[in-house]
Amino acid sequence: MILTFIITSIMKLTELIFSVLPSLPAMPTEIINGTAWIITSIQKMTSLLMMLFNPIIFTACISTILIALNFNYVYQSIMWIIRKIPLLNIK
Amino acid sequence: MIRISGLTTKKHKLVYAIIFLFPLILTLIPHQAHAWTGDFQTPSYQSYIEQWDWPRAMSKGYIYNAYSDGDYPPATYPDFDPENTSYIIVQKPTGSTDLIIYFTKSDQDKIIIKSDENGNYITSTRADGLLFYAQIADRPKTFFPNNYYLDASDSNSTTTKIYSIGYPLGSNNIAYDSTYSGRTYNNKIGYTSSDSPISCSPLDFGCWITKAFDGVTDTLKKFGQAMLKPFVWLWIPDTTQIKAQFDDTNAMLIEKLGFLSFPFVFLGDVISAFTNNTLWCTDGNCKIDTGNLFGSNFTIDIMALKNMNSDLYNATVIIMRGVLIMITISAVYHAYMRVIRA
Repeated sequence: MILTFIITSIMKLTELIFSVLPSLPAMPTEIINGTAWIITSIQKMTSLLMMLFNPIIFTACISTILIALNFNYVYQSIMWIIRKIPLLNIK
Repeated sequence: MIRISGLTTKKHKLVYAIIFLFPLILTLIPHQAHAWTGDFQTPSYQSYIEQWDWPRAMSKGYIYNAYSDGDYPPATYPDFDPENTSYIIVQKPTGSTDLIIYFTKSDQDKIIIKSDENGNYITSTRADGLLFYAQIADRPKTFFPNNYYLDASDSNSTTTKIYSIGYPLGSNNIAYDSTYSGRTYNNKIGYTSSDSPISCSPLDFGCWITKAFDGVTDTLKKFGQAMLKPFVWLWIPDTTQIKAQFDDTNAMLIEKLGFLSFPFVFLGDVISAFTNNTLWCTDGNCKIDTGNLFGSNFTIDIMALKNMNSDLYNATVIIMRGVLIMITISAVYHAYMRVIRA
């Protein structure tokens, strides 16, 4: 209840602030249609890969590959968070 | 003497008191409310029971594989939720016994199923007036509105409203309370004698001790649940309400921000394309329409290969999975070597 109240209040406040501002023009329909085709293609190919590779294997392997390829960034991000914890006292 | 750091002035004490007392008061209010409403009873449930008789006994169990077919939208038919399914046996003034199944997924979505006069099947009238049929059976059965039913495997109609409940109850999943005799229940619904509650003979001390321990355990469980409910109510956010509010805010922001919100929408769609990908390929069907990308429409049917030559299909799948795993191992190895060199 408390968290619901806090989160809802923040969202209501955001809506209140933005309701005062004017609306910006929307993205042209041609661009939206073009990106919709890209998304549909991604969805179809992912669906195919999920079926061929098994969702668990596919998710685990792709996640591992992405982490391994970006290991430096992942390591630095984790260490940045860990250094913020005063109890650990890691410099 | 215990000293709390920062709790020095009267102002600080007042602030701390408010911080601790406010959640406490909020906790006690729902606790009282839960104690008053009981475990699972709701006003609509109560009013329905009163039309028949007071429940002679109550039991809880599990029910599986409930689904709808035909022209009725499955999305509006709630799944059976074991945690929110209750079985109530009522003794009518005429002497016959009826089984009522009450299950709900939310307060807005309640269904009560009751047995008919013959006790062979169970009917339910939804809030919208639709009547459907189901049965507690040892295997899936399909019931039609004219009281005629078939096995689920024989069903070939797609226009009739059909609802099936398959493998509903395991005999070990029902726990009866002490007021239930079990005889009428068995004769009426067709349960085996193993479903009957164990009655202890006067000198069967083991049975009495077991019953006592079970009673203590149930009491502790109920007490723990009663204590937990108000804390859950207070501290665990209502996801439905937050999601509805988030959707409203999101729609409003997209409208207000216009083209500026497009990258975020696109990113969200790409992520959902990876996560919600069960639309085209299932185990038995995977036809991918390429559109007019190559000048003419054609469809790639992956399952055709499986149907034509399943060995070749299986070998291809195994090889592709092996390649993916090898790529993963290679990526991890190179990451490890980079760390070692550094």
